[in-house]
Amino acid sequence: MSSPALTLLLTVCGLGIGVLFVAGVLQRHWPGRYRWLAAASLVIVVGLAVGLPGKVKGDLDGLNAQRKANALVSEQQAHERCLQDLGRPDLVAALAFARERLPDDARYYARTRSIPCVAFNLFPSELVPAGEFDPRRDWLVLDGLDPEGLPPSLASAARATDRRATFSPTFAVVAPEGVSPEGGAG
Amino acid sequence: MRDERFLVGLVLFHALAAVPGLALLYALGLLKLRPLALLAAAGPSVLLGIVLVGIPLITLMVVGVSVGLAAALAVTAVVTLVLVLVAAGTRERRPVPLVATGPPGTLVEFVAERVVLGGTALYLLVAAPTFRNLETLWDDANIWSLKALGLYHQGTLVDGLSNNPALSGVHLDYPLLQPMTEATFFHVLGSIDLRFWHFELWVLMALAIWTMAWLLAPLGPRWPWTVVLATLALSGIVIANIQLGDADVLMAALVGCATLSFGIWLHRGGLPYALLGGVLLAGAANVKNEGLVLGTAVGVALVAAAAIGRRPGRWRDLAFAAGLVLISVLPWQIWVGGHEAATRNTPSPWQVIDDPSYLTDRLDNLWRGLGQVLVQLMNTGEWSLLVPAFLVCAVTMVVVGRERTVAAFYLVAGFLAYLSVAYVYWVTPIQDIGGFEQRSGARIVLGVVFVGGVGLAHLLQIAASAWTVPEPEVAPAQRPAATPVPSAVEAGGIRSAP
Repeated sequence: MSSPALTLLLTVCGLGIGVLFVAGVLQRHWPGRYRWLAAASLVIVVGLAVGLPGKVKGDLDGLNAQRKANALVSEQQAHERCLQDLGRPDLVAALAFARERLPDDARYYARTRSIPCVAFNLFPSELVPAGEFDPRRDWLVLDGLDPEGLPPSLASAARATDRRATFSPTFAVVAPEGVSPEGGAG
Repeated sequence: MRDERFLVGLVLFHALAAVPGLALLYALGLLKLRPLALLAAAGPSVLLGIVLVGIPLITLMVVGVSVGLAAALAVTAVVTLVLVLVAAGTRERRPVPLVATGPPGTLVEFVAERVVLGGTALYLLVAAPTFRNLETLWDDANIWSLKALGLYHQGTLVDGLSNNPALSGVHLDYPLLQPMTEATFFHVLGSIDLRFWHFELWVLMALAIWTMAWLLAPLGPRWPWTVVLATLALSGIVIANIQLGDADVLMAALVGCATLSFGIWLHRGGLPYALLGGVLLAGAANVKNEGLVLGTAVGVALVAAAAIGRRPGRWRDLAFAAGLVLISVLPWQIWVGGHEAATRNTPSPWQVIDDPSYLTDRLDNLWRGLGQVLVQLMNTGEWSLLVPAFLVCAVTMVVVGRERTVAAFYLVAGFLAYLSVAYVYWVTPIQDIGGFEQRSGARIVLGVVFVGGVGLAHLLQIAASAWTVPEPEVAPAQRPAATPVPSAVEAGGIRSAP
């Protein structure tokens, strides 16, 4: 028998022994089956109640410490936490650069290792799947400038240096055809 | 300024959500239009309102309608109007008020129940500020709040976020009730502030505990179950899950409330409790796929228990409840079925049944899962003695013959819920089971814990109601319990005053 099953069995037996003991004590006062119900209720309620005060204190101490630790968290930090967890703190400034250029109603495709986290930081602009990318309408967010590995329409947009605003040697945004990449957000 | 805006938005959001919830409880005959009864039902009403508005909003979005604040307000108004019309149409057929059973409360009982309930409420209030200023962690940023912000800004299921193969790894098949609620919450707040969302998740958990207390309060003795609800509320796993921004607590709490509602239906009868259980279960199934699985477990246990019973109309009640759940779940599940990018990570039984080798090759995972789930359930630091106590209480009631059907229902529901979590271990394509255990082990048993927890709470209530007033042995069909006697709040709030 596995160890957790044994633990469960032993705990059930322990409670059962408690019920037997209390039922024995109550024998004179209660008729047959109600004695067992009373004993089971008493043992269980006392068993659960005993741990509550300590748990309240432990929980509140822990929560209080966390409240103090998080007191200065800003909304921007809340958004950017996933970039830190991703191991890409460099994307914080890069995505701020992209947000400044993408208009609010922009659609974009992002080539990056973690699309969800990048998309999370580029709202209200709308992410499009690779298959729906339209170079005449959509922006391209490049985390890694090498166009290799991109589908043809995306690769061709990635090569369009005249529509590209470069943030760093590895990060740039490419505007739709006929749009200036420095156009500014709405 | 931020705090004032938050406070106003918070009050407005909950007030709006409470309206359809109150209308539902009134239409079901579970609410009297009296100030104290309305106050007592405020918590359950908000929880129900979120389900009642969220599911139609998801349905609208699935058929291509853009949803925002205006749509949320319109749905709230329409749902409320329909329920008020139903209430007006059924005024002559109001259910008989639920009668509290058991001995009159003693002073000690009265004090004990107030101290534990009051202490739990105070704890929930004092702890709340911690959840007002948290960062958005990985799962939340990649799954739940990502979808919520998409819904907030775009109002529809845009392909980039919902039908994008590049996002298949972040569970595009997960239902949308939590993101939809989050988006609506931010609409009511007037803008996005992710730090506040954890606070709302904490409030929703507290409302679920309130709902359980509201359901149990009119039945009879209260002091035994108060410690069970306190144990559920005080778990560090609940706290951690809310800090992570995950949806497990909301799903599990809704499953717990639904299971309790069905348990009361089984015990006391009355279509309203079956319908209430159906609405809550529909909510759980629209929060996470696990809600659908656990709902199926509860449903199977319920059918088995109903087959043993003899109460007239039980199949009609169950059919109505099942219909409610089915209608509520279908839109999203149909949408998922039609979109390849929204693939399910965990294969369904019907997807693996024709491939026995898939199952036999993973038998080690099954044994490991069965053990791991037990390890989590026996985490006494977090759940105290909840699970063994539930087993002892249910088995004692079966053995001594006190409400055997109800006790058996909770036992079977809990066992099936346990098996359903072990099944996830069995069929998961994840190779790193150790990592899976570490990341998800504690949270994926939340549904099982809540099913067992509400089972224990209800069974303790039934056991305590037999303490000093032994009932004569009668056939199950002749018991007073077989009479449909709903209207929970009629007796609410005052039973055990000395």
